[in-house]
Amino acid sequence: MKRRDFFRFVSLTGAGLALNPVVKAAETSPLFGADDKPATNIKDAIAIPRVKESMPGLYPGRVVRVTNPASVIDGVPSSDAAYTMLKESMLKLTGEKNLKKAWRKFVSPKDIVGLKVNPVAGKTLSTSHAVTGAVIRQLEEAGIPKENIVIWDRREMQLHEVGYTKENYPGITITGTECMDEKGSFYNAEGKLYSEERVEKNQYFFADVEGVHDDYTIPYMVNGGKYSYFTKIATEKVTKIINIPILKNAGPTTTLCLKNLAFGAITNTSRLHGKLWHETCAYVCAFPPIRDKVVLNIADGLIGCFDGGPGAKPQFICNYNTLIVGTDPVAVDRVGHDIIIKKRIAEGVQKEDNPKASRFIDMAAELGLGIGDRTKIELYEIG
Amino acid sequence: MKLAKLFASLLLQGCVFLFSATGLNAQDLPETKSERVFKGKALYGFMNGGSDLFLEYGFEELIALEVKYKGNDFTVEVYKMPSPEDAFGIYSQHTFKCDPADAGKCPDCTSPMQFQTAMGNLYITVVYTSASADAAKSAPELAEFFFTKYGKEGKAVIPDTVLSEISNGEKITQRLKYARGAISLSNLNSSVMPSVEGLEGYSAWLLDGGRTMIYIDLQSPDSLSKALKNISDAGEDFPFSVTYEKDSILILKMK
Repeated sequence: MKRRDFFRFVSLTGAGLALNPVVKAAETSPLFGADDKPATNIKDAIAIPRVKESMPGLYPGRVVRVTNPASVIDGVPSSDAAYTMLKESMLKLTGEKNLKKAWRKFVSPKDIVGLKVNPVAGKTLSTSHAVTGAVIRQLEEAGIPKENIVIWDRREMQLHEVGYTKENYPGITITGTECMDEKGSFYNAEGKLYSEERVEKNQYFFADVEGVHDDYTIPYMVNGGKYSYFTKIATEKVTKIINIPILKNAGPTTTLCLKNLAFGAITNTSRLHGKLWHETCAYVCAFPPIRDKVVLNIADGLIGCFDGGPGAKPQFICNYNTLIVGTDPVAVDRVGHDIIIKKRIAEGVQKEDNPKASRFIDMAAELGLGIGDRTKIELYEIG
Repeated sequence: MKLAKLFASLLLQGCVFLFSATGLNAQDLPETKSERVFKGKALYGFMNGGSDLFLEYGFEELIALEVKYKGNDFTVEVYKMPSPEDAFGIYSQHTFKCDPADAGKCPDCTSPMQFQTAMGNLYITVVYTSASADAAKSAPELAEFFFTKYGKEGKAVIPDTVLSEISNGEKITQRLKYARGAISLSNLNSSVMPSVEGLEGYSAWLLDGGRTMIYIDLQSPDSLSKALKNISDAGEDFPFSVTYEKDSILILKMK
């Protein structure tokens, strides 16, 4: 079945829905269906049969954390250190002795591999070029042609601003859903947003919250209304996704793998930040374009932040000097969340962890996207 | 109390500039390498989820600049807010571990690689990539330059009840914060939130993060009644003693 047809599939299999054990579990969970929560189409996502690549991927609950105090030199992440840290992570994660074999467990030369980076906080707190560069080098060493590698995010402009350019990454595609032309316009000659061509309107996250955007805002949201459409980068362009978020907070919670994917892959997001922030982080990742394509998560914590996020406030930026790697985005998020909360407590930002702050992790676990229970996570620490 | 008022007026009204931005030599003028403007909810295009806090304060416009000044590179963000209170409010949300230097000038503070200030209706942040003393010295000059270019003079109105708690010589950045709704108030003091459950449109001045006093303007007698009922429902768990002023002012002090 083509992924783009999955909503049609759902409508034809309504009878099967009631028999799906995951749906039943979700319906009876107190995490779902709270009275004051706007309705969503999460059931549509759950009803799509999983494939063998579906989250949490090859190693559910397994997380490797590599720390190297020398990974940031004079405020700049070290490419050499990032390469070595990533290599150690990959070998430990897969149990392989050969790096090429480790990578080939996730990708093949036939794949179009999308690297989902995060440039939203600007130059001071974006996915580092050291880590992205290390991923690209190791992909190439594993036989993945450069032309099959795509660096992407929702905003092409922000990618360029932080240095993800064709000049810095020759031969690699750099693309985003929201984009402008060389003259700085979001609109083509017909007055249509360029980004409209880059979203797949048959694949969407519905939430019963209206997005109302003025002329200034619409280029960053692509559309208003109650639908958030998936980017074609995820639905069509790439066959595998390697997720490379940053270790940072968002207010009292944290944003790593799930947030980077969810809010990075759909349109019309501002309406989802209020009542549905946690739900969106978890639910959007349960839809096939994300659930079935993300093969690896590499949380870049060489430089991160413990407060002031998701933007970059210099007083809260710190060197965690760490990489957190796993196929399971929920487990990686749990490990990363605990690192950030520990730092927040040490810095006096908060006194203790508030379980409500990581509700999205519990929700994603309940959806079968990974393991959020600390006692069930198999964490390997190196360095 | 008069002294305190005068002091706060100096801080939050007309800031005393050390440098005359308009008197800069031509060769000293900042060179703008890039400039982007985000109006209203378009702020989501700049900072995504971080926008909610700014929008709660009524954020109007951001001018985000990359500039070169006296040989150093800076990232300057100029946030136009609807009032000096809101400019001070959003500034006060960002002063954790920021060394205040606002005696006699605008509220401002410096942390490694960043200078922040609230000037009139503007909240301005200047980030520099070089750790040099020159860059640190230039940051307030840039803030003043861009205030002259984009800002409006204005006076934040601080309630007398709050002002009377601030002594002459105290740094307002250290003592005072201002919230404009649930996101900003919970960021500053989450234990007060049961009192404003279900309410909207309120604002609050917090002294010492709420440890000394939280002064909440609930805007209407009806909202005050609801807040008092909320507090009654919270019972002994609510950590503040309660008094009120006029028809809509709730004053909370730590028990």
